[in-house]
Amino acid sequence: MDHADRITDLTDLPDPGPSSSGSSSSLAGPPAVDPAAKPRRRPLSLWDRSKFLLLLGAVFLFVVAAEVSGDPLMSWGDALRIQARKSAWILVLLGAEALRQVHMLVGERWSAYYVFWTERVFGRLERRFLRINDWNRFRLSRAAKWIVGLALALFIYARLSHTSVFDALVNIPGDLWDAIPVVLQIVLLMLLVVGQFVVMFWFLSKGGVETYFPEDITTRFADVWGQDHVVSRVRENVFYLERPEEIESRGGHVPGGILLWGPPGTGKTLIAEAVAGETGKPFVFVDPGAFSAMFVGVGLLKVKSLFRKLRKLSLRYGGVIVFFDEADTLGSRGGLGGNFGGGVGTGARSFFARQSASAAASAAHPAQAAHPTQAAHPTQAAQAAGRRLFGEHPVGPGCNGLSYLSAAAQAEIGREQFVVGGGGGGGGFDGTLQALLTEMSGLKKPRGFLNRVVRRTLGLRPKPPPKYRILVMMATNMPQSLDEALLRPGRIDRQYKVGYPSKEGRVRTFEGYLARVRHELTAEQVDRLAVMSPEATGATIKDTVNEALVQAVKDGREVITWQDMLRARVIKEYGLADDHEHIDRERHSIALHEACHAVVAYRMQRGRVIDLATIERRGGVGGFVAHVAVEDRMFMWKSEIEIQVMVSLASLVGERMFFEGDNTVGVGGDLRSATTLVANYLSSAAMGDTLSSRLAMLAQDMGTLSLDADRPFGQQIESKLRELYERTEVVLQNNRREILALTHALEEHKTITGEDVEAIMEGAVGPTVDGRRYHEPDFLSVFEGYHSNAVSAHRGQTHEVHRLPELGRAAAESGRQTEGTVGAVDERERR
Amino acid sequence: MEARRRTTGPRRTSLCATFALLSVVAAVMLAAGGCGSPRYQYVTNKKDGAFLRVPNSWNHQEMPGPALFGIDARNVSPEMLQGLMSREWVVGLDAGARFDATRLLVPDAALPKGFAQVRHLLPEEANAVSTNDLRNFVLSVDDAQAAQDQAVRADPYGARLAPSFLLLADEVVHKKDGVHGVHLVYQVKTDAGLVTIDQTSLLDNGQSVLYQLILACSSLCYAQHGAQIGDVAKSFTIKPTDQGQ
Repeated sequence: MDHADRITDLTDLPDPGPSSSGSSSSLAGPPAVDPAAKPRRRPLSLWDRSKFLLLLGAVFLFVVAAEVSGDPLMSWGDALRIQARKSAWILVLLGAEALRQVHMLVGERWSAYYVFWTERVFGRLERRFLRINDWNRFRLSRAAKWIVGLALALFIYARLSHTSVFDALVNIPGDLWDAIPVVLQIVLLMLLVVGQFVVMFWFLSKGGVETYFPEDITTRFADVWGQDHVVSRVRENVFYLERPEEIESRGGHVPGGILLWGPPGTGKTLIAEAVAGETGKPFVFVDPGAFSAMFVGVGLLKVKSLFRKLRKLSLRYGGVIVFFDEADTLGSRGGLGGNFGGGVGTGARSFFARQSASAAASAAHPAQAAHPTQAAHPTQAAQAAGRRLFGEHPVGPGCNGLSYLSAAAQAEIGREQFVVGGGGGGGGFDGTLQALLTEMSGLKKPRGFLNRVVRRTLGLRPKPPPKYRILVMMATNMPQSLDEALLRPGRIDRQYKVGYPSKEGRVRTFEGYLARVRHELTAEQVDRLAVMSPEATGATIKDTVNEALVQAVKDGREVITWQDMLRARVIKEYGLADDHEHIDRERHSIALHEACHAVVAYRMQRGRVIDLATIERRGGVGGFVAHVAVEDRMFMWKSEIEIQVMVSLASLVGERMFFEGDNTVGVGGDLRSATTLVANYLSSAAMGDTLSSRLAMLAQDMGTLSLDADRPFGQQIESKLRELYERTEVVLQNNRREILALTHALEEHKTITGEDVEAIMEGAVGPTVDGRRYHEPDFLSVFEGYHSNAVSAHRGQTHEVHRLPELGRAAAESGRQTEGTVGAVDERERR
Repeated sequence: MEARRRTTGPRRTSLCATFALLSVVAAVMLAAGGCGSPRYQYVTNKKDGAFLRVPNSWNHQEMPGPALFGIDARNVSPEMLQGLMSREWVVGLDAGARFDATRLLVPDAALPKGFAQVRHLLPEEANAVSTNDLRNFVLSVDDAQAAQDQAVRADPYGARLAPSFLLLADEVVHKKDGVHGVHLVYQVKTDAGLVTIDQTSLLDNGQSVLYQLILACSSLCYAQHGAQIGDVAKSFTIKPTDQGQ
């Protein structure tokens, strides 16, 4: 019946209008206005009372009119009588509706009648129905819907087949049997359509995954040089995979995942290969691009099929190792990539933030000349480091302003420009990554149709899944583009940094590659090579040795010499110089500029040696002095920072000293780094008079606070720089001969090695330069003459510079005197 | 109180209207269902425009196959039969209590039987047909009349007292819309006794559709139900449509 049946509204309010017919107040609702009044139905409007009657009447009239229309013999009376039989259902509905309206009308007038129906009849039915529990009620209603649906279908079928409903019901089995061929055809068609997709996706989901067995791989752990600590940790994991009972019997579990991360070329893949060679378990190699597919969902299928394979192998061989090379292609949903410099963070994020900061810092080492313009051509590492450190900050042409700085100083200057690529490869958004995460550590559910369905049907509980011992290894040089969830314990439990090889490893690697060629390098020289290349990896060492061989062959020799090695290093580390000849005056000033850097660095720096000094142009860089660290240190002292600043300022001081107070714009980059260093350490490491960390205040948005109203920050920087300028001046004044000697050597040779610099400073014999001649008594006077000539040319008094003086080959005894003086100055400076 | 007084008027109106409405419904239902069955049955073919009214006690039923009158069934191929079926509409009529399709044209029927048909003539039939041909569709009336005349000449009394063929009515019919044809009533002597046949054969204006109503029963029956048969034959109405072809 209608909703209105349940209305218990007692009010005598005016008719609420048509809309009220549908709205019912609740059955349980007490009388709203007058509790004492007898409840009656809310009166309906005339329209609500009559609308269905009118509709049904109109329908009946229509069918009668249709009967009469077009038939000249038919009378209205006969048509009415004929349709009363033919369309009796309309009259039945009409009667039912009339009866309902009478029922409503009585309910509106007679309270007892109304209460009887609402409370006793429908109310009782409702209460009885509510007593059935929800599940049974759902089942009843479901059954009712099925019965009504089937009855309707049967009725329609009977009408379509021109039989009675009963006949149709009886015929159904036979008709169904007859329909089987058609049904089979349709099913086959659908199978074909679905099968196309199944086959297509099956083919698409193949590939990119290869399985190796131990005998397939010849690489062993012994082949991994210089990564002993990582190798020992990886061996540990493989040990537990091979003997799980060692840890499981004690209540532990086999570690599930290892991430090897670090700079390119450090041997991550080699370690994985060695694992494959050493372990007794199958090794599954997943191509980096395996999960990038043309269609969404294929990656997911691939992950599923990969893990199905892994589970199978794991059960068969008692364990399996899967290796994802370049795991950054797996993608990330965002997170790790962002806010790298920020120190706050937990878990993997802060872990990588810490590690990457130092990685970025150390990545600057090989670059020594990490200037943006210079970074255009030297080694790949230098390029990467240059980009990472300095972003796109332009510095005027001239000497490389940073090459003589320690890595930490460089990192400090570049800190605000840290741009670390996040995001990594795509693929994180089509469910591939999520599928991988779930497979690695998802619901431990029983698998298999037999296990789940058949066993349950027989009343057995499904067997729990067996222990699948799968060791997941991943390698990447972009750990920040991995998903954070991938790195949580239980998935990738262990993250090992595969950094640059240790010195022993580098010696070993050099020896290894040198053993394959003919050379005349001594053990000391190899050791020195290793010291000079702190950031060398297996790949770069192999490349350097090869380049040395190329140099030797070019010269028509079969044996690699020390000179070849040095040349190869320069080419590999700093790239080839431009084919550019400086004009004489400029050559002299650039050489002097670099010589000043080199002298201050040589006299003052500790723990770092000069690797190379050059005035050959590389891109926008006129020349540079490069350094290598001989110790792996973490912290710098305030005094060391000051020395770095002094090395920076040396060019300015020297140019002014030798060119009568004039200086080139080439010192711009030096001044920038000097200022940045001083400003940073003044504001963070108590380098000046104040203690408070201005950087921290800036980070907390308190930068507008003034620490010392009387002395603005800029003044503090300026006075510190001035103080260091003066100290640098003293050093340079005391080393005038050495500066001129280096200038001469640079002008003559364009590029000299750190050993040459040392030889010149000490009056010894270097690989390319004989330093003894610079200590001959007449050198200073000859070269001072040349220099004053250059100065007057600079003033514009003369128009040509004299030719660079040729020096005698013989070593002079007097050189030692100068050395003594310099040593004294050096001591004084250090104090 | 104010509100109560205001509501009185509409409520009373609503009540009256409800009662009026319900009484109308009751009247309609009484008129429709309560006054018994219709006086006539209507045999209707609105597609071809053929209408017939028979007494309510009669039965009628559409026949599935063609009534191949005037066509030699031996020459009919299955394809032609299919074509004919699509061009034919035949309804059997039976005044008996039970409709019996197999006994629609028996000579000794005690109650009137017969059929009404509409047939779309084949082009060659349509070209050949004439009003005179309409007379001979059931029985060759002219031949029978000639044989009777012959018999009268041979035996004037005997043949007149017991005629083998007696034409009771022979009229040419012209109706609206150019519908024309003949209406014949005749008595034929058969082995089973005398049969009276009431035959109406009409053609539309274009002479492409044949409308026929044939009613027959024994002569005794005709003496009893002749008026009823005449009424039925009179109600045979044609409103030609062009949809038939």
